[in-house]
Amino acid sequence: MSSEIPAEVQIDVSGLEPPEPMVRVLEALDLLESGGRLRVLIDRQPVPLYQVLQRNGYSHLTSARADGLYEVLIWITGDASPV
Amino acid sequence: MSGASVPRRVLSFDSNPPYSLPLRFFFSAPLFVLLACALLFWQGEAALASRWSPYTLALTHLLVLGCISMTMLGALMQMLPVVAGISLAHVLRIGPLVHAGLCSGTLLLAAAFCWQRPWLYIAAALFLLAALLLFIAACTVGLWQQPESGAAEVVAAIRQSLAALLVTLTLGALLAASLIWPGSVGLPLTLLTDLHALWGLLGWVGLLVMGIAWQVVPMFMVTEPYPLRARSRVSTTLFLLLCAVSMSSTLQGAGMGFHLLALALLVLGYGGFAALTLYLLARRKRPSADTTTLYWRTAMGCLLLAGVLAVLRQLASHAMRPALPVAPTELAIGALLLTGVALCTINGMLYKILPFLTWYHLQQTRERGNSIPNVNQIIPPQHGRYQYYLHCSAVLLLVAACYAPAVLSRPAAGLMALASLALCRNMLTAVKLYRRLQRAVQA
Repeated sequence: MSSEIPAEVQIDVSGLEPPEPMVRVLEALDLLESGGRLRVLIDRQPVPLYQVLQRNGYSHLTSARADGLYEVLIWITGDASPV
Repeated sequence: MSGASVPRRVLSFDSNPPYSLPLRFFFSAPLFVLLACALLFWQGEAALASRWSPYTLALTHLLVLGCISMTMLGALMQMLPVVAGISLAHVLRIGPLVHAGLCSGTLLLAAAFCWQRPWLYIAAALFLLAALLLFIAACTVGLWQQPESGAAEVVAAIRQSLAALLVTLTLGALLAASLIWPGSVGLPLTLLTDLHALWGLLGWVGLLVMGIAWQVVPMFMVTEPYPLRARSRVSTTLFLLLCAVSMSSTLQGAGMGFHLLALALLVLGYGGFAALTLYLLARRKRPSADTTTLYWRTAMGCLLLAGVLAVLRQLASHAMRPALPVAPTELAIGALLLTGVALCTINGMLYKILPFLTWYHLQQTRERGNSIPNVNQIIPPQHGRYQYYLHCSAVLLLVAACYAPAVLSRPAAGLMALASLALCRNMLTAVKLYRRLQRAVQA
């Protein structure tokens, strides 16, 4: 199965009404395997998601884009940091 | 789904306040509206006689403290961690204390207005001061932290709104002191009352609605964001205008001109905010408006109407033959701001916050076989819409009752009570679902 999943998965949840962005991210996390990364494009800082990630062994890095959107890069804590 | 992928979905969600904490605030709010309706029904015309009638004051404070502030405090405890990543200090211990103090203080204050007993004023002031100062202190500790980036404007408006609450509370305490010990304060009661109402309605309530709007209108109603220039400047400008209006309120001559200019800019500022919000809501791409969007549109429409009435009232007070009677128009502005702007915003937000909280807290039961409904179906949309029409009819009737209290005050009370009961029923739908699914997991 791992060969079917790219090392980095990108999802765009901008323009979706809560809690749909979190639902989509959690679904994508289900498929995230060791060594993989998830890159999320979102309208705002997803503070509740950060809390869920922190409590469940995921690390993240957020960067603000010039167009007002945010990019959140997520990986399993303990894996090699992607940055 | 592969076996390897399942376990990670058992996620922990429990860093926010427990489900029951904001709910005790949210469920108390419509109960205080029901109490206000009972008072209006009992007293009828006397409760809408003028803004100085003791029953009108009791009615106003049941709404402002028991419903509006009650919901705003509960929502702040819930939203600060979610929106800005800011946790309130000792929220699990402070939350119930603030709730109990606010409930007791509001009931005592309403009783004090109705029966005019000094000891009731003293007890009410003690409970309200303790509860609200405790809340402000907890927020101050939390708001000292750096908010998540992107939330700075929201946090700035919340800080200003809490500062306005502190001013309102101080002025309220001075008014209580002057009622308990007449002549002790040495300031004109009319001026103190006007400033108390100004800071409470336009400062505490208005600035918080604005700060919350910066975040929730684009997020929940999927509009374009407010322009950054508006978000970063408007609330601070309005806070400074409130200061300018207050400090110039005793001036004469040219100073009076400055006072009127600051007042006009204040009305323009809130009118501009309402117009901008209506513009964003009109341009949203969703085909149909849900209950929350309908409520926000109505709230902003009422804010504009209250502004127009405020201007007409100001003109009427200088005219020989005023187009509108001054005293009923003052009451109508209050009724519009309280039940049209504040209650509509609050009701609209409850239709988003409550289903979202229910969905969020049920996530942990998903792995044990529970199927969580779509967040938009947790409260059936047609029930929300029905309650919206009831509330709007009640607001219209209440505003009309300000001009014809003898005929309309009791029908307005009855309709507003029906709208509150319908809101309670809709909120209970979400809580019953939560309990049923929790029980299913525990069984």
